[in-house]
Amino acid sequence: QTRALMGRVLDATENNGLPGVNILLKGTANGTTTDADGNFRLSVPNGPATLVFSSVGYVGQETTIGVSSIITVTLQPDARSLNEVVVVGYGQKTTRKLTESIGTVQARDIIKLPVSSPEAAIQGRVSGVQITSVDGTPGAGVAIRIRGVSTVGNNQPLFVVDGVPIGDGTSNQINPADVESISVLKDASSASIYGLRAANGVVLITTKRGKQGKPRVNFDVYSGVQNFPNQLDMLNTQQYVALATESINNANAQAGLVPGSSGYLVLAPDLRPGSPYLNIDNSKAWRDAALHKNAPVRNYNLSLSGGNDVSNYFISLGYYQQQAMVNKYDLSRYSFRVNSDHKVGSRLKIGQALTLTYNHTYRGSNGTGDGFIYASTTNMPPILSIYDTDHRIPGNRYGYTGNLNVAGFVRLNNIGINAVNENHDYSYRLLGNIYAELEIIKGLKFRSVAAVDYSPYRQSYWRPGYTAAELGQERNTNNYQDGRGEGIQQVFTNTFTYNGQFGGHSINAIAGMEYQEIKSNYLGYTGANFQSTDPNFYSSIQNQQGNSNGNGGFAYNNASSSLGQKAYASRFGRLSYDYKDTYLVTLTARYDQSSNFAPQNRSKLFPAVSAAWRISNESFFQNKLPFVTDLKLRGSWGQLGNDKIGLDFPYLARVQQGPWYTLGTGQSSLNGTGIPNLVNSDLRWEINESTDAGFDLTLFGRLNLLVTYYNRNTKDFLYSLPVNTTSGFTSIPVNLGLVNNRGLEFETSYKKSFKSGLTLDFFGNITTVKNKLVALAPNVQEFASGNYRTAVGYPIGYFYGYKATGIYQNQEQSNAAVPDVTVNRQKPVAGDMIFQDNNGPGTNGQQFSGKADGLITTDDRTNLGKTIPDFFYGFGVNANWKGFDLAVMFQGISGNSIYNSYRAANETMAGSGNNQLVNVLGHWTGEGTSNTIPRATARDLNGNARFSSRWIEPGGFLRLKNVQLGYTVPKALLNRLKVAQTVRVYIAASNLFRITKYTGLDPEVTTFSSQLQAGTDNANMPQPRTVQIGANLTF
Amino acid sequence: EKKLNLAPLGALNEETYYQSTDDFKGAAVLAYSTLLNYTYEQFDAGGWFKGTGMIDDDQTSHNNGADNIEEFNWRSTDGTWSALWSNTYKGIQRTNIIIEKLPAAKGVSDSTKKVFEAEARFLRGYFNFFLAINWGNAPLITVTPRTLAETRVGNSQPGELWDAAIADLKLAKAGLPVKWDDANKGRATSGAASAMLGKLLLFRAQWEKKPALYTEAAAEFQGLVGKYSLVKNYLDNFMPTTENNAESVFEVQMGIGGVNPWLPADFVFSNGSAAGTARLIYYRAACGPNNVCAPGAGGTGYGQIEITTGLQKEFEAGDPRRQATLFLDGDPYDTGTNIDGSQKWVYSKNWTITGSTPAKYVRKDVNIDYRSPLSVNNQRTIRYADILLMLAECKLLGSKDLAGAVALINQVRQRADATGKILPDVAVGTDAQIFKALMHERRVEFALEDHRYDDLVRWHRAGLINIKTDVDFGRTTANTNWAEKNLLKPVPQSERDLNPAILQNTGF
Repeated sequence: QTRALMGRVLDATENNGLPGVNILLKGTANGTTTDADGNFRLSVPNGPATLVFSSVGYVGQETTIGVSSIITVTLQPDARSLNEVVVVGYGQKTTRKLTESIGTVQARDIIKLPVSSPEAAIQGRVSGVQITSVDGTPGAGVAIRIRGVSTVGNNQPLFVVDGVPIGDGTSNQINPADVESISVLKDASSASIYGLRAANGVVLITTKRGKQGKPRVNFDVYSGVQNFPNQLDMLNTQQYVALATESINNANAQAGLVPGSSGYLVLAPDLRPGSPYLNIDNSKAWRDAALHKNAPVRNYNLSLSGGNDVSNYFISLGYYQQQAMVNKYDLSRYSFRVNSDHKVGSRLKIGQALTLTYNHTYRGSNGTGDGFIYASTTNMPPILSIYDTDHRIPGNRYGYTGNLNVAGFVRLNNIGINAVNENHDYSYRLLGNIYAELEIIKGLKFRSVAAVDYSPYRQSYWRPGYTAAELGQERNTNNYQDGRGEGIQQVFTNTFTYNGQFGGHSINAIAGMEYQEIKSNYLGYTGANFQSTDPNFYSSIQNQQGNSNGNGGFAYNNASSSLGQKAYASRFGRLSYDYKDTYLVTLTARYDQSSNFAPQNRSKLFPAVSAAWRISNESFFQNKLPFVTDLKLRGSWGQLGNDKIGLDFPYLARVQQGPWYTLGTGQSSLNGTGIPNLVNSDLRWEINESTDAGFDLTLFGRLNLLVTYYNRNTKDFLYSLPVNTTSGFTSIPVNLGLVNNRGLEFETSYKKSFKSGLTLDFFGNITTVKNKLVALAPNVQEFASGNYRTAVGYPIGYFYGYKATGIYQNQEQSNAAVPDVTVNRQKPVAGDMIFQDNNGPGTNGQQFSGKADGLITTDDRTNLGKTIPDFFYGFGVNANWKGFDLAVMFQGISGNSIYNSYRAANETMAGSGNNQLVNVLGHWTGEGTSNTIPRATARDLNGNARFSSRWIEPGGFLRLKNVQLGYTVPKALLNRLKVAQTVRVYIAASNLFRITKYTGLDPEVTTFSSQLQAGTDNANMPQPRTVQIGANLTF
Repeated sequence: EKKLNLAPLGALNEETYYQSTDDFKGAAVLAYSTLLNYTYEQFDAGGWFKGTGMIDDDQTSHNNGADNIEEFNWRSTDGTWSALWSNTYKGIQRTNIIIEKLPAAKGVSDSTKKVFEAEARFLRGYFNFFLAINWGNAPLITVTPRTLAETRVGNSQPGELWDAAIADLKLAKAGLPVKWDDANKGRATSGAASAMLGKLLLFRAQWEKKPALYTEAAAEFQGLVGKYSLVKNYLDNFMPTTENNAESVFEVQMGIGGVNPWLPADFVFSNGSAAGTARLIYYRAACGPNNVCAPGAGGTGYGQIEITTGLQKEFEAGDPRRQATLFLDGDPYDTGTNIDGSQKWVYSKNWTITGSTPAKYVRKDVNIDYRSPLSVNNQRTIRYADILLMLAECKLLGSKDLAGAVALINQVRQRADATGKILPDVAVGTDAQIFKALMHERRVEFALEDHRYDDLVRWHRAGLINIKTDVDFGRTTANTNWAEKNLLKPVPQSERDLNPAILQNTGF
């Protein structure tokens, strides 16, 4: 017997109707949600029953209903969501009980972003976590720096998916739509349960599981187009030739060369007056041929979930496709997931998580993170043509004119090469676990988990034969490479957990053991000279021709293979105790062993402690400051470890086959054998010791503020330090000095509902970073790596070069120039760059004097800017009104520098050759014409183009990362249509605008793991400007 | 815990390797392979003989393009110098490890150990000599470093590199065989060690102005007289079909190698690549100023080098060595697939600016694939003609045996022209006259064999010539820029950034 119940749910502070509140008849799958005005209707059994009300951002509530057929319920806003469950290492905690620093991102925020990986969804959401895409290529890596840059080596945190540690990223192999929550373990106390490999923090990804209730089908879809946010413009033919002529004339004049004298530079014949090529202007054609306008991005997700008292399930299917904004780059991913939990009897629970993904990238010459095709086509000399319009090349495949004689300058037709090359990257991943959990006595559970992460991959590369006439490069034999490998990781985890409540005392304890084994293998071969260019033919190794002579080419009959293995063993424990949620403390310890170190250095204990005091629970506080809803003071200290240093077993000296040499009358080539790398048998764990302190404050139930001060010291960090090549090697793995990262994190949110039904939810966060290398190694104060330098007293990996202070405007100034030893004391002339003399060699063992010494030497290179920002931030608002919802998010960084390497390469004005950026039109041509861009000269005797502050630009930016406007179709309408339970449609855009001083394509460029090449922009692919439409449907 | 005692899979281990004769042969081959990097190493900007050949007055870069290396505008950041520097030290490490590991090797007999050690010392001597004449007091490395501190070695003391090389070469001379069996042909011999030692002593006599060393050098060379002979046909010294002949004392052995020939030999240590030279592709003619191109130029040939008018004129009229050394207008262009001249290619000066490009090593070389940079034509490092002319120099400058010196010069001339009609014998004249004849003979005999700039430097140091006034590098800018500091190369800045204790050479 049932009856109809009508009701309304109100916000306790605003007294207006709350839409979207879930209502469930306790103990059943029977439930509903409120409409836009907060009204609901539910059929309930006759007699008393209990309803469970829940809504995000409100304290859940259970209400017992009597016989009344109309009820009104008010929900208390829970701005902090004190009861929100946060995933922590090997368990969960409610926000209320947290003593650690953990940042979270929930499914509801993730689905609002058109991202291909879960980690990209963290950007701008969590304080203390800097997320930067390596660049805008589909599937490009996402660099994560938690609370600064802790090491010169690998800075990526450890990723753990459903309890399985998978390495330093998800590699685009986890469907973001399957993710329930992401927890970023920022402090040592939260991360130390993962002791080993946790030095850079931990990112925990938890996937969705079925909930009690009727089967629920979700279908999400979006489709969008992506475009370059801006372009780099180059000189037209007329400007190009004029500049080349000027450069050559200036160089000849400076050297006093006249026509006929040896070394006299002449304009390339094709650039001289009368040349037919002067009528050609392809300054935009090359770039346009590289671009893929309105590149599509698509996503489809279908999921089924549900459950009852005994079992629950979540099944999903996903398809994601993204093409790049340049030609021939197509990423697609198919993903499948089944998660389930089952109760067997009253004490045993068994469950599993399983995902299978298949990624395929089809591409030409372009890789990720290199901006290759854009960079290599925009600067093509504008007189060159992509196609042979004269049809001199049989078949006119390309018929490239790039092997013209432009001062001996040969450029490849990368448009053509990109078109004919076929690269396929396939990767598969089977990631899953199965667990059994037994409740031994009430509160004490034993859980055993077996997990596997199996990731086979295959990469194939086909290059057809082509000629210099077609593509500027002679490749007469075709070539095919095929490589396949697999990674296999197994993890066994056994834990005991105990939860107990004794009066006001509550205890949560965990103790466990974990063993992890990682294996990998690879086998590849290269074949050439295939008779047919049909993929089905050339993919067969036996079809390659093998050895050949003069007409054929080389025997690329080479196979290669590799094997890898590694293991970890750990024991760990954690004890969390609190008294009435007021006094909280957590103790953690993990004892780790890694096969990466010699037996005597293998083991290490990583301890941590954290504590919190909910001061707002104290009676004296409650009485005096009633507007303080919640105030918690907290602090933590702990140690974490890292064993990553690139090559495995860095303590063992390998002997490997090396380069060839030919001996004997038979001229047989033999492999040399030797030691390719220096090793270090004393290598040990890198230790990251961090302390943090802060408070969580909620005022008036709606304004949250979270402030944390952090101080991390990374000591004995692992790094392959560059060494003098006099050693015969290039680097040595070592434990080095000390890096300090300090800063403040602020997070705030404010929630407000209006009578009109409008709700606003503001959020913002900002993190400051102060990074400093405190010590390096005995007698080593610094080391340089290309244009980057790492030195005691400075941030890691800052740009190191000459400071350009202007341009010599006239001969008087240039005559008075400080002699420059680095350019062999070549006297500058008017129009050359001025470089600052700020340092000289030191005395008494000091490297530098710190004072100008009247000479420009390499000592004058100085700090030109750091790659680590001063601060980074994100903020935005989520608004709801009637059926509409709006989400806006901004994100930015400030205080970092970028080396605009593309500009450095294309503003040299060195005569003919690469085309130049239009900026050079403003170059110095006489006194007062420019103080930033020097004169044009084909002989850059003053080194105007050297690595200097001329190429370093501020890298800060603020961008509108994402904006989404949605509309949820009213329930009433749907009920009539009976098509779906909920229907939401939306329109969204990413990267709509940005504010930056940076002149390149996009200031968001970085490197994945090491900071030592971060911030070099080679015209990498920018973050696309995406416009999309989508829908979320529930059946 | 035992499960953690893992080791790298598929790799040998330093503790267990270095036991058998085969192990040490592998180590020796590795040390030799370093020599390949001097001639072809495109990735470190050391490619196509830039630092070794391109700075002399015989070769100039194609199209007269601006070039800091060739114009003596040398900078410590030039990749050319760091490539030469680091490859040399790589070679030293590869010899040091042999010397370090030999004593404990269980599977090698004492007599074989002696040979391996001598061979390692020959190469180490070669490398240290290279360091001494290019960088002066560069660090002297005698052991494989095992810690960070051991990798940081400062400059050597003046003369230390020379002393170390002399000691090594003396031991090498004593320990190496006179001749290797067919399977090992190409490895260093006692004759090669003696020749290197003599060359070093001659250089040192001039570098450090120690005339007494001429006598020691002469003794080394004298000991080789009669043990080698000049081949009848001069061109046989430069063809891939007549390598390791009777005139050959030491050659860098080029070969097919294993993988992609475009990659430098050391590109991937564990999977070494080609072992050839880039000569055919970089030495052959390209296109002239008016877009007239040699066959195979452009995509199939990146001609980088032309011959200065100075060297063109240096040859006496009709000297048969001219055709073997450089192409001139009207010559048959018999190179690559056209070595038999079947395609009737005739050399045109319009393919060039100077009118001439190299023929030495290129003429009559059919490489196995003309599209790749690879030529398997060996680099003749020391040949008997060099021994004779160095001996002549010692006699002239040391013992003042003018007649003896002249006889040796004439021996070399007579091989080039057996008739004596085109190249008449040099007469015994004054010291100066004979030295001039000797300089001329060395220049034409060894053009493009990477000796020329080293010769100029040592003569300049000995006060026999003044490079600034006596040498025309074929480019106004090169002549203007050349300065005393160019007698040494700049120490790579990257090395000084890592260890400021390594001092820069004066002037850079």
